[in-house]
Amino acid sequence: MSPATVTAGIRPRSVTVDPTGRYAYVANYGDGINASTVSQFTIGTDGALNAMSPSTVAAGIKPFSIITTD
Amino acid sequence: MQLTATAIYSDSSSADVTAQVAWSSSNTAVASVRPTDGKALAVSAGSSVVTATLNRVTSASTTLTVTSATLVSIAITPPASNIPLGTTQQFVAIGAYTDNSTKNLTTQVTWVSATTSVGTISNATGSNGLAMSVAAGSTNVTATWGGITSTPVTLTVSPTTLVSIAITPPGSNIPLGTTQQFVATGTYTDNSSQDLTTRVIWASATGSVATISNGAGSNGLATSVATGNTRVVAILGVLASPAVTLTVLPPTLVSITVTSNRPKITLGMTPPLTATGVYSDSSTRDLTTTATWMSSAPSILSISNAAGSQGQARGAAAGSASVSAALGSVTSPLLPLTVTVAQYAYVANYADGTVSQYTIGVGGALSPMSSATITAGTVPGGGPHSITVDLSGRYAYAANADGTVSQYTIGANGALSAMSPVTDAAGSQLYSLNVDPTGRYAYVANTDDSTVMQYTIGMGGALSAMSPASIHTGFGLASLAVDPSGRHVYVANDSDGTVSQYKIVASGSLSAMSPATVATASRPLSVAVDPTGRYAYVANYNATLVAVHD
Repeated sequence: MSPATVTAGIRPRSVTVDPTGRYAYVANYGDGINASTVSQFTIGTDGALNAMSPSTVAAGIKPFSIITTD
Repeated sequence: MQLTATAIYSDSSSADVTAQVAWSSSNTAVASVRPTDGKALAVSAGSSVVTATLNRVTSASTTLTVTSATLVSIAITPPASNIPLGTTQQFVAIGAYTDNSTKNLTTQVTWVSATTSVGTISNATGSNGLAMSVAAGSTNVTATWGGITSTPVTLTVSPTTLVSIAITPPGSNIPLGTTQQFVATGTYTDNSSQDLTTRVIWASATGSVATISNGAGSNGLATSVATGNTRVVAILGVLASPAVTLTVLPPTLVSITVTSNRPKITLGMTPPLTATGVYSDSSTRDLTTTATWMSSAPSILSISNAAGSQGQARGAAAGSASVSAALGSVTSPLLPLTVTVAQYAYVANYADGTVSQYTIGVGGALSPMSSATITAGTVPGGGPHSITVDLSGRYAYAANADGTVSQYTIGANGALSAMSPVTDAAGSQLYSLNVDPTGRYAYVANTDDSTVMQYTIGMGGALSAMSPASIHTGFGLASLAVDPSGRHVYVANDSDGTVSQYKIVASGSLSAMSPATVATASRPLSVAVDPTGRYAYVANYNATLVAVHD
């Protein structure tokens, strides 16, 4: 796709798509210095990720994985 | 009667002149005298003066009185009779007279039956001589008149006999797949009737349409085989009932079931619902596009009856609604569904030993819940590697680096509430937990031990270890996957480059398949199964490729 990549946070470690297929979330493991985050995207009709506003929300420290409910 | 004429002469001699005299009868309608031998013949009842004349000498007169003929005997016909109980016998009495004449005396005689408990006989006007059977046995019947009694005749009453057989119902239409119980009723000579269903032989003329049972306990039960007509008869001895027609109609709809692949519908989602019809012949049919759909609360959950989108539900507002589907007079049971405003997201935070919890708002943005995190595992170094929610959305499990599984119930607002954690005795690092599609079993990949820990999920969602609590896999397993059909588990063994494969047996525990392992490329870290359960894919860390296993 174009663009081939979109920016997430530091050391993205886990990505999940919600069951409706409209949203994607990335758990960013972080570097131990900056706070860890979750990046959030809408999924366009062509499948491309578009950063939401805000593009990240705070997570705990060094998140390994993320899931969404059905 | 012999008359004699004697002539007395002047010399006082006498001679028999019976044959010479001329006989005279004053009333030949009553009696006449034969000239040749003087025999008087009675003609009818009455009197006549008779004289004899010879040579102009006429005798003194004598009076002949002719009386009526008298009854000599009475005979009954028929001379013997054998009738079934419930029927009658007409007897006739014939009188024999002195003049050899006979006369039907049926209405004059007095009829007597010696044993009235077997049969009675009528002396009533209009039915004289009619014998009525009362019970099986024998009786003597006599007829008496004028002091003369007939020789008795025997009337034998035999037990009742079957006159006819009738089948009920007299005609029947049944849908294919159903049965019809027929009843055979016998009518007897005494007008009594009896249920002969279990005594007759049942027959169906067209066994390819319906069969009928002669088996004990199911006599007369017709079972449909195919649509069409057949004729059913019941036979006992030489008697057969009139045939009745059994028509087998196409199968009818018996019930409808509505199913949804998820009990919760997120606002704005349009999950398809399915209506399945069960027919009288046990066949099923997808009625999704032919049934009429209903929602108990269309403002919460609307459901489409429009062509092309029948059965498509749409969550319109948060709340609960029940849906049903109807076709003809058959309506499905209500299927309760919940429309939820929001979905939830959970993040396993390894370093601080927490799970972050978020509400996914309209537009997809995450909002931290009022309790933004909940504890999982221990710090330092014992936090959660992953979090898993079961398919019902009621329970969540965190696999922790300190060898514990944190388990949670998910509240109505999505917030996690902790249950007591489950601890692995070995205290190894846990990376992931998988729940099977039925929500009954959980499997944890235990990398340090090279084991899979297996748990049963109880009513409240709490895990309890199966026996055995764990099974050894290949060396250094990294992850596992449960196939979507819930029948198999695949384990990626990082260190020895294999995939272990297991069958989920009835109790939920894993049983090695044959072969137990399949070689893959170097360092398999992750395995996934496609939704059909037919293909598995393995991510191989060193080989930078994905292996496909059928």
